[in-house]
Amino acid sequence: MNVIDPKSSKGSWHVIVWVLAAFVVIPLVTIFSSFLTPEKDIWAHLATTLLPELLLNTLILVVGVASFTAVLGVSLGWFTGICDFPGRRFFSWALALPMALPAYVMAFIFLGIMDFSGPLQGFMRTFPGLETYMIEVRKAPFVIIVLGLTLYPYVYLLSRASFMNQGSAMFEASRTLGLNPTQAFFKVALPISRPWIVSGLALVLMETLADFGAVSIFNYDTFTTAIYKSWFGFFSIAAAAQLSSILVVLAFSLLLLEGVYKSRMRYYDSSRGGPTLVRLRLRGWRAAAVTAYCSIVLGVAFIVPLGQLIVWSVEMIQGGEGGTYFKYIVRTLILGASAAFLICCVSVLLSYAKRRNGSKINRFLCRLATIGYALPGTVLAVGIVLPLVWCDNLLQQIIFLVVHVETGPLFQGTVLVMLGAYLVRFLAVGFSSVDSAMQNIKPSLDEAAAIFGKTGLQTLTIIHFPLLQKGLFTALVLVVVDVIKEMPITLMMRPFGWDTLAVKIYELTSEGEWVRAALPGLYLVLAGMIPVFIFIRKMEK
Amino acid sequence: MMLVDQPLLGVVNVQKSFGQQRVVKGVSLELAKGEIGCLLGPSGCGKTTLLRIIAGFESVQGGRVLIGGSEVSSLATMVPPENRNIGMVFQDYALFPHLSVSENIGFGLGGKDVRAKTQAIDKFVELVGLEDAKNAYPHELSGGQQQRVALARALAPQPSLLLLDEPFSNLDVTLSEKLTVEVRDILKEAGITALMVTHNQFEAFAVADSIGVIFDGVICQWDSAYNIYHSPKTLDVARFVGDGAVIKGVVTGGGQVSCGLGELRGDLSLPCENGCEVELLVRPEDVFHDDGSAVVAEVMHKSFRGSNILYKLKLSTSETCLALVSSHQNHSLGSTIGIVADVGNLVVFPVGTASAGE
Repeated sequence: MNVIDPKSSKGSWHVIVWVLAAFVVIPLVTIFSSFLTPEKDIWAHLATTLLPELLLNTLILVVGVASFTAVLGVSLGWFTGICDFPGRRFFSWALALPMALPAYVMAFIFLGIMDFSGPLQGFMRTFPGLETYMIEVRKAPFVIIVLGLTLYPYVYLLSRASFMNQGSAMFEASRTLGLNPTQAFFKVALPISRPWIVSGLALVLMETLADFGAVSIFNYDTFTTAIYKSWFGFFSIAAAAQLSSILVVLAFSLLLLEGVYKSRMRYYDSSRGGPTLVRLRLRGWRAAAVTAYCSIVLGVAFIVPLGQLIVWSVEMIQGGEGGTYFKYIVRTLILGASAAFLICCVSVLLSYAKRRNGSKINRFLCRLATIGYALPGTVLAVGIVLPLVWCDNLLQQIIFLVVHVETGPLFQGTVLVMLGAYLVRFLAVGFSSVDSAMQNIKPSLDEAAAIFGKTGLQTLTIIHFPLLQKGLFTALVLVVVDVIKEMPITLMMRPFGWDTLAVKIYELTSEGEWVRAALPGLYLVLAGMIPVFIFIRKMEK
Repeated sequence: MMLVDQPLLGVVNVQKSFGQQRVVKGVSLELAKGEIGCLLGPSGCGKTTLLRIIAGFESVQGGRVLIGGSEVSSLATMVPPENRNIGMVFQDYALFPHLSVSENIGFGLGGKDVRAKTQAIDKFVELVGLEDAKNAYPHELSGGQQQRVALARALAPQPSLLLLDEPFSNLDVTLSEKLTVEVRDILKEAGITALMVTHNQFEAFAVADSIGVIFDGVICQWDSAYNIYHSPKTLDVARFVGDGAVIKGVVTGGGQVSCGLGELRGDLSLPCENGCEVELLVRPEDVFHDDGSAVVAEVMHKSFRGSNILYKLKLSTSETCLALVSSHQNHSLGSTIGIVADVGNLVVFPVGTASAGE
């Protein structure tokens, strides 16, 4: 949206975009440069020891999670989007709920239930002869199931929207051309929805690659855990950087894949003026089977884990440990709120700058500034700390040269740096809701304000800000919740004493204390349900 | 000697309701092989539902549908759409966005013989004149081209019956006028039996052999375009099809009606006794300007149409009628002119029979 206003200089808005983009680019460049300048000794060591296992583990995870979420997401999207069966209305929103469960919470609940001392194996031991069938849970299939159950909603929501957007015309057209419903699904509905499904899968896989909490609970080594271990276990930030560079390449290929398929969507968007949808009414055993299928998925992915969480939490509260986490809640909320405030301010500036000057370069820079969502938290931490150490050292030397005082590190290990990391990671979340609200404001309003002689900043405060309130509120909520659930950045960058709920869960679960982790887990799930409900309300409109 | 042909499409007393609302109320119609029929009616009259019933997307709640003599829909049977040997052109064309023009056209062609398939595709690409756009994708085509692809795709599997759902409604007027003629030629050349649904009478006139005017789930008249226009059977049909005015009159003798346009003579469409009050249909082309006429009317509104002007006139009875006159006769608003009506067929209706259509 290009607004012509000869009174204001476009230059100043340009600068904001450049500065913000640079902020994101610095960690990226740091990581890429370590990819381009491989350190031979470290590589030789990595290649013989860690790397083959890490690559294999990651490959298994990516293939497994992709297939699992594709099957779950697409089938559920088709049933609730196009078919009609008992409970369809309920399931169409309820099946999005597992998004509220962070993968690491799901992981420790799963382990708690399946553990030797947990309810499942305890139950099995009551049958003589069954005790030999002990389940070895720390294996790839279980990691895949846990990640898949929390991530399938991405594929589900996108494929459902696409099926509904197709309406029934395509499907009916293929029936008149001689295809039965099953053939029509595979030959027409599925290929047309491919861009949406692939975009959903790309998001799922980005989350999979970025996941740190769930895989560390399962002791399943991937790049994220290896980065953490080489930094905090072997104190080799150089090795961590090398590993990060591989992970970032993998993540960006997914980003590219998403971009390619997103650009195809508009060609496939064939509906003119609202598609008509005549639902396929399922009857008899088919209807029963679909209702049962949806119930099982919802049960396993949401109701059972939430129930177990509540049971454990009640145990904790009855044991008098209910108030233990109060200080963690306060810190988590302080961090979340400050990050959200920061991100909202930056989002408004960025979005307004784009509006004032919608040149190609500015739009590219906006995209660049919000690319951090594809960066795994572990990678981001490495990418920020490396240049920061360099800066800090330089600053200390200058200060020492000038005033002869040993200051020690100035920025390292401060909350400020952590907030900066959150900004890079979650700017996309805030920006997308602010920017879509900004795009809903007609450009003629800016022109009208300009005619009355208002400057850019005045227009922003008296015209745009009031109109943006709803979008800003959504952005605030989404960012707060994302920060609350965030684990690796907080774990790796927090100053002493700034443990959040997520960090506490990491500590407790690494000692196998599933029950004690339940209460902070429950808080996270409850917080996580807020954005899901916001999203569902939008979806129902 | 031919035996009495079975109709290719038979619809017998079909009923359909959605919830409490009766949408199709006992409709019957027949199409002979090679005949092009059209269901014409305002939106919400049930015509699209009827088409979807024939296609097999909706079930019936009474009556039967027969294609080629075999029953495809009734309370007991419901042959799925893919087994009815029909083709359909959808209102928004429903072209498959992931397939090229030739892939779309070849979609319904079965068989393993690649060469035969390619030949068939080429034949239909040529039939609709899209040789240059063969490898294009739907989003690269204009509205008119998309329409042709949709038609070719539906015709390619050589269905016994072609259904067209408002096929021209997404095109601008000029283009749809051109395409209606083209489509009729293509359908006639293919010798296909077709049923079209539209709310636009000009499309119906241009394409169909027989037209069924449908109101509120009932076919009011099934007839040729000429008869629908000149001999409408009900007031609703008279008002929906073509321009015209309906004015009150009294039958004053055999073939004579007294009304706001004076004493009109002609053949009465209904047998009426003297003194019987009727409503009389007057088409704009039946009313002429004549300075010597004793009947005068006031010009209320006029619209210039190039070769002629359509006047809206106020009669001495305060009723209005339309007159289509040569544009050389330019009368100003508010002026009073003499008019004469020359009606060969007096289309009259009993008073108070209108139910809908306005």
